[in-house]
Amino acid sequence: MAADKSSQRVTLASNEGTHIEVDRVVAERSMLIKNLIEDLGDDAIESQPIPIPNVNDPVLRKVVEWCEHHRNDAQTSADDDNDNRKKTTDIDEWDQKFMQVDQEMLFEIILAANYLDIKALLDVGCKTVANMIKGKSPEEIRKTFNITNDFTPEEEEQIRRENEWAEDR
Amino acid sequence: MDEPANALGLPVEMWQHIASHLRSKDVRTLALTCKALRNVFQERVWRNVQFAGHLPALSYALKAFIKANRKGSQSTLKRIGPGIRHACFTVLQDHQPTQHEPGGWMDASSHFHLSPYSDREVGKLPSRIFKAIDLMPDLEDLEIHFDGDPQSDHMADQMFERKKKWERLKHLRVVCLGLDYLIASKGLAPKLRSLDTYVTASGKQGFLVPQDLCHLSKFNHLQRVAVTLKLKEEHIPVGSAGALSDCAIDKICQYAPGIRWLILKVHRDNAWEESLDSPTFREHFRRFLGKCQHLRKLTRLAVVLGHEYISDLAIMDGIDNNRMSWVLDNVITPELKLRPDSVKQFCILTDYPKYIKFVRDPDGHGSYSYQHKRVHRGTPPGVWPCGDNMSNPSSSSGPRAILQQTTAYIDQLPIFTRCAAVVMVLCEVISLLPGWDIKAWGRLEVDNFSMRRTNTYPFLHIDVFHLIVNLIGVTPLLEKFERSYGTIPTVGLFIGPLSTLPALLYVGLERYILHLNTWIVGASVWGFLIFGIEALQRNRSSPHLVIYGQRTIPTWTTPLAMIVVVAFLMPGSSALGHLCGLAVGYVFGMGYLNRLIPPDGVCRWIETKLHLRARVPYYAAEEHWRGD
Repeated sequence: MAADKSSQRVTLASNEGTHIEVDRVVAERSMLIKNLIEDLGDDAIESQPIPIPNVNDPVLRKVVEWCEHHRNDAQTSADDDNDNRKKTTDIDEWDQKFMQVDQEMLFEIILAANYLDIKALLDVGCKTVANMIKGKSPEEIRKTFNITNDFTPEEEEQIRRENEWAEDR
Repeated sequence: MDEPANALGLPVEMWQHIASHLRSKDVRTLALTCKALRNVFQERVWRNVQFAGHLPALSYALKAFIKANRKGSQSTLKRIGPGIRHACFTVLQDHQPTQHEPGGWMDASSHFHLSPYSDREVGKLPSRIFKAIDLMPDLEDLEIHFDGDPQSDHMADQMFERKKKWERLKHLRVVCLGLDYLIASKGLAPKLRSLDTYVTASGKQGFLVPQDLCHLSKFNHLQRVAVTLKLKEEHIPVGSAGALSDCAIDKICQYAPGIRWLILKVHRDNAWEESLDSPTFREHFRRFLGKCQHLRKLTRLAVVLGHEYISDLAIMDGIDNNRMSWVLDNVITPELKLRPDSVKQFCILTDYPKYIKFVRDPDGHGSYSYQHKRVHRGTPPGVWPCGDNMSNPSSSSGPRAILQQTTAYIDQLPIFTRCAAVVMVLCEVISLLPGWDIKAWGRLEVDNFSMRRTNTYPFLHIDVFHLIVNLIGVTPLLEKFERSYGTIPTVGLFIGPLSTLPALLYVGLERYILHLNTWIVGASVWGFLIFGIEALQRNRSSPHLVIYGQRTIPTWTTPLAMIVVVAFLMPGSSALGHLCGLAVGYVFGMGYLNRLIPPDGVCRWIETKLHLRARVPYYAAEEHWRGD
């Protein structure tokens, strides 16, 4: 079985019912799918598509595209150099291009990555959003994400003052 | 999907995840955008609070904090007190600047100079501190830096009247004579596990350990003790630190034999410095380690040598590195064999940058390390100047107010931006004086090309009007760049590739394609360059400008429109020069020039070596260091 695992193909079904066929290794970038395949057994997945009910077709295609490109990456363990990963917002070039989509798509990719449990993709997505926030003023952030300011001016002033006292160690 | 995903539609965990990639400053800004995000980040923003300031300001600030958190408060916002886990109260003394780290406030010998109006406020400070603490029911970690005799007395008075216990308090760090003693004797912190305290000696009365450390026995759950040996007078005899450590370790063995973790801090001062390579020091150190044997449960032992705040430059400059290194290699390392067997981790922390090195384990087990002590990041940015009785200068209008705002703006510019602006003005002044024609010397010429000119031209301008327009246009952009990239990378980039590349591009185009020979000067090249970088960044988040609800123009093209407008308004300006700057900006923004940015490690290294943070005012640090 192990020998043909690499060439094995699986079919994913989006919530719109469209089917996408991918290599099993690619699909297994998603921990959710990997666990699902283990639970269902090899035979079951050959005969029927794996339903991904929370993700629509364009997003699923995008996620698969990412997984194809990163198929050979080493799987990072859950708390692998946690400290290093945080605070840096460096994204590699291909991922940067990959993430140049409109915001709606970006957020859906993040949600899908979270649902499918693809940690590296989730990281890339969150870093992209973090990069949009970095160094901006509240007004700029609102503009970027189309957020309406629901503070009264007094409340805003109060928070601003409070924030002057909050300091991370 | 039924509903298009938007930023606020993301679940809370996703936002937490995003915030884990952000610095705390950005998280705080994010919490300012709307109520939903504030609720997400409230706890994180408010987990640690630092109240630091000079006396009247600090007292006013606490008053405001108490007012905002009282139960009947008018505020519609969620109260912040309950989320606070760590609080630090620091009273800065008059001579200490607020923008910098609180260096040197361990020096208790200098007294406060209280102005008469603040006396009443000062008297209220201790009670306000305790009131504020009472408003933080989840507080686990409390620091009070409140040195100086009159204040300590006030503090003590307040303590005697206290009944309410701090049930959750686990860690207490006080630099306030006798405060921990009072807390212990009144049983105010029944769950305390970790205590930072100090013992002191004064030369006149010989050696003295003021509270005998007997209060340690009152804390039943104590696991970790950090003792700072503090020497007050300068004329203490040689070896006093050692004698003090003897005294302290005796008391610890007697009153807190069950601790697992001991930290001994010896603050460097003249007397200690002299005693370092004397036999007395070795003897005391040996005795200290020997006595640690009595602490049966001790697993971690640390010795901290050096001044608490490396920002104290006067002391930094006087360090005798050779001697220190000799002591580490010849006294401390060999004596380590004497440490108790139970100790699994031993470390020496110093604040001397030269000693960031690992030492081999002398007898094959346990781990030893010299570590660089992290700088204690102190005060929040600026003291809240909230005086109830102070008028707000910006609320008045008129030219004076505008002038004030302008000076205030200039006052907060980071160092490179400020210097660049000054140099530009100076160059203009020089060119107005008879004699040296600085513009002919430094401008970028096509025929008379030299590498020097590719770096000098941004500082020169055609005339005063050109200079003013460029200053107004470029300064905010440069400031933003410097704040986000840090001072060192900014200097490296702008006195270098980001000036040279547009210049080369320009000269190339002029000479080989247009066959023209127009010289250019002016900082506007930088302006368009940064503009280009920004436009690309914005393009990533919102690819189109939205006009009347329709996506019309791609965002990245906005600087091009700017160039056209500028060319129209100022016919004398060089549109080609601007284009070259913009082109380099685009390339930089796409990340192709990232190699040119000095790597993080290098910057941090330079910063540490030169103590830039403490030495250079308005230094923009690339990233904050955080303590662990």
